[in-house]
Amino acid sequence: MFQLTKFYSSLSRFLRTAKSDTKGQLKASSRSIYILPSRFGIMYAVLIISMLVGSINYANNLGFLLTFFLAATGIIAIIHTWLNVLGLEFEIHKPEPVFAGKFLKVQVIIKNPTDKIRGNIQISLHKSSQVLLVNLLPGESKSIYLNQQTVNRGYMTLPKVLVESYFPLGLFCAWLYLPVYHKALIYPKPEKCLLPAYLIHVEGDSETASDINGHNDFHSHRNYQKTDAASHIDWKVLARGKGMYSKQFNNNIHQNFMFSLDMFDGCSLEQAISRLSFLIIRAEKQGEFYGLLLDEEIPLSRGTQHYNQCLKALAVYKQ
Amino acid sequence: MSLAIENKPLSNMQIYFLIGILFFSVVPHFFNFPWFISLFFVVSLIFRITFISTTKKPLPKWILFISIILAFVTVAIPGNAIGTGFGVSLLIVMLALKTLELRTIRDAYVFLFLNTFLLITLFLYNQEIYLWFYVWLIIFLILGFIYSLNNQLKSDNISFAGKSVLKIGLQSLPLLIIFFIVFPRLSGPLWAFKHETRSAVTGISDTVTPGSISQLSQSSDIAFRVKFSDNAQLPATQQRYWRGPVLAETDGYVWRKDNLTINSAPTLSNSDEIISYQLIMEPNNQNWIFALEHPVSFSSDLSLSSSFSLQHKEKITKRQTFEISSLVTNILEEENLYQINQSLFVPDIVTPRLENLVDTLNENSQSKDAYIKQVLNFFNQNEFVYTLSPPLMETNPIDEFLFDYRQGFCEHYATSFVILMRMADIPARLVVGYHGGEWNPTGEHLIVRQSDAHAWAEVWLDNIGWRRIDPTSAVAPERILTSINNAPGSEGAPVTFTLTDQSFLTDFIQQAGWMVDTLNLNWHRWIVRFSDKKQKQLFDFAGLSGFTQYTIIILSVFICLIITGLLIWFLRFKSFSSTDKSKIYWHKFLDKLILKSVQVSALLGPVQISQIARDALPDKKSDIENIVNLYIKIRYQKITDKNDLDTFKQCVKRF
Repeated sequence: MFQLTKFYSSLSRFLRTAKSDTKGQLKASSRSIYILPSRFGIMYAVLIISMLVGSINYANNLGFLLTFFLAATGIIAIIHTWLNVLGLEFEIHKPEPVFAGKFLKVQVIIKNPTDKIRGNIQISLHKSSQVLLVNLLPGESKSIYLNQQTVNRGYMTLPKVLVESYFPLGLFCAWLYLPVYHKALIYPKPEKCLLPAYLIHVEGDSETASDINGHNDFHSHRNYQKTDAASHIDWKVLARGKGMYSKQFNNNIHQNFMFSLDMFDGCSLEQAISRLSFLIIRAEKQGEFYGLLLDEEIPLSRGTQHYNQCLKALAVYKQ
Repeated sequence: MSLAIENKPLSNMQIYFLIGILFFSVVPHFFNFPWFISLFFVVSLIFRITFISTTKKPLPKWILFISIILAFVTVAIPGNAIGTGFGVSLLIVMLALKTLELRTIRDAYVFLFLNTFLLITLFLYNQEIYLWFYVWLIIFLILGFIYSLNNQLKSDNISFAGKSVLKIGLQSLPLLIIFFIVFPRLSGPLWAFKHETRSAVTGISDTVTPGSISQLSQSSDIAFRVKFSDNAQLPATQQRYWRGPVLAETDGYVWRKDNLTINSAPTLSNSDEIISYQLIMEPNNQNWIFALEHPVSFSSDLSLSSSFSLQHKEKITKRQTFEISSLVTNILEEENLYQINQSLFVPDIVTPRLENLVDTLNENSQSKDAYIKQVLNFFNQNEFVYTLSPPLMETNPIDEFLFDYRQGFCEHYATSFVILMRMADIPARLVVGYHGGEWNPTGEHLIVRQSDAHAWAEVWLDNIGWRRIDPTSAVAPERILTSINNAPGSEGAPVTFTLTDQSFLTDFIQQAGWMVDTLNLNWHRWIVRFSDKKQKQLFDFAGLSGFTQYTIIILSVFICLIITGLLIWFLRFKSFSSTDKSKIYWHKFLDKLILKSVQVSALLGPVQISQIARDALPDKKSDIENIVNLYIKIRYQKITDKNDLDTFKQCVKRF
């Protein structure tokens, strides 16, 4: 069994994939396109062979004429199918991180730089059942999102993107693989849990923090800073076009959390990580200050950047 | 990986289209099969359209079961064993049932493939050019449908799908031609199935009664065509007698052929007079092949009777071609006593006034030759009318014609002439066939129609043999020089002849007629009857006579590869963007500048090149500026306007 897997993986190294140019664009070159008859192509071949046998038997020249016409059309169809994929340009963007169990959205931009229309291009991630159909006018480019189911946290190697076309007659399939060089970051799946009763209270900065950044009572506006939580932005002011301001609250019962794995003693590592993930999401939503203590400490802070930093640290922990 | 649309359900519109295609594919078969197969087919389609188009639910199993049983019963009714007809009718009813099961695009593919197979069976029954165009039209509809399934970009735009499929069709033509010419043809079938066709056609038969030929003459159907070999001269109209059966036995009313046919091997006296030609017979359900008098060599499936009539082994039920050579001069024949005796028999129809006439004519003549002349004079100098609608003569046609009515067609003249000869002890017999024929200058062949059917006489002269005498020429010499108008007039109305001065319209119609006829003939010669022999001829003509068939096939595979390669190159070039194409013409422009000894380099930008070129060629300043500006517009401003590229191309070409 092991031998076989090894064999397949060594075989797949020979699979030709599209090569990217210096700008990171992939181009469907003639060397990277495969072409084979589809199921209907094989049926078509059987049809032509039986028509040929009939024509030979009855020495029927009109039969020959029809048979050869269909055969020639089949050959021309190969060319058209091949040309339908040839010269297309692709860009695959690094997908945004998602939580495990959710769908990863892989953005593919497909460009038709030629003067030819491109009908029914099927795009899918390798071995995925979701297939998207794209039609392109001359010079047109389109952006599509391919969904990839995620399971585990950490960095995920994305499958190759499969680009196929059966255009114009469905008798032949021309396809090519687009390599995906990006690795997708998968955050741990959050698991609901109660905030443990004992928490590490960090007193250090609390004076300034509780005075100015307190939560409950609205105090004043200040210019938006990157570390401010999205929920603190005064959207009403922003909608009036007066600029981006964050609300300042007076909050005296404000808390600072420093999360760590020690909080969940009885749990497995994965479960603990999942719970920490949940707590971080909650803390960010409530605009609280939080930090994370794993191998290295991430100091107390808040805001999208901090939030992502914490989740990423959780995602790659002991991977 | 699979076709993403495979399991998509078909729309009602698509289902109607598929049913329509099936209907039109089967219509020509209605004439080839018993009526109940057509009935089953039509009823199934109507059932499909009325009952199922409204609901998407699959059909209950029991309905399918009953219809399958019904289908088999329908096919089994004719009772013929396994044969072509059985297979085709089975295919028809199966396809009719398949319409009940049309749901997804996969079904559509299977259905259309089977339908295509059904189309090819049409050619077993009919191989005319119009059927070919009909079938090709349906094939294009099928391809267009498949194309529209695979292109949702403009799937609602029918003319777009049509245009694209037409392009694909045109691109496949060169390959089709090579395949057709090069594919090796077998001389016999792989296996034999009984395959019969029914046809009801007219033509000259073995017996002649008064009126039988004039009736035939009212049909403008083509009897046969003649293509003379390149070095042969078209014989004069007076010599174009196409010989059919010789009728010597008579009771005075019906003329029959003698039953004794001996295959004789003729001896050739002078080969200069030999004319060789191809005779393309239309089906006539008879064995007779109407060769030019006198046939001397012919294809092996023909046989020559002792009275120089050619016969085919089997009845002609489809268009067939024969290679024949004829000697136009008389042939010295050996005396055949049996034939001569038979040609002296006078049936029991002699009336006193007939006997009187023979006596009078005989008294004035010293020799047999003189008597023949007297009889012809008798026709010429009396008030005889040459008519397509002679009155009915039933009791004694010879006597009534000669004395009472004096209106008749060629068979009346020929039969009376033969009787008058026999009564004077000159052996004489009736020959039927065709005379003349219309020359088609477009196709350079002769068209002989049923209206050219003719009857003439032959008399036996000692030391000379059988000699042709055409009494019609004594009455209506125009008949022998031109063909007749085959519109029947009132009873006894004289025949009108085709005259040469014509209006523009009739001239145009005639020209068009010739074109169609030529097309038909060449279709038959080069497509329908294309055989291993023709193939060899063609290879010899192309100078490939030294090559074996395998060499030729390998050679043609290479040609096919080259054609496909060129096509790929062409299509790829066509699909380049305007920017890419403009680069190509820009380099052509630079080449032209260098040819004009302007020192430019491709490394320089267009503005610099423009500067250098304008300095070097001040007289072409405006041209250069125009080209450079267009190039900058297309290449750098990325304005993809087709017209710009075209004008740029033109400017560079003109430069």
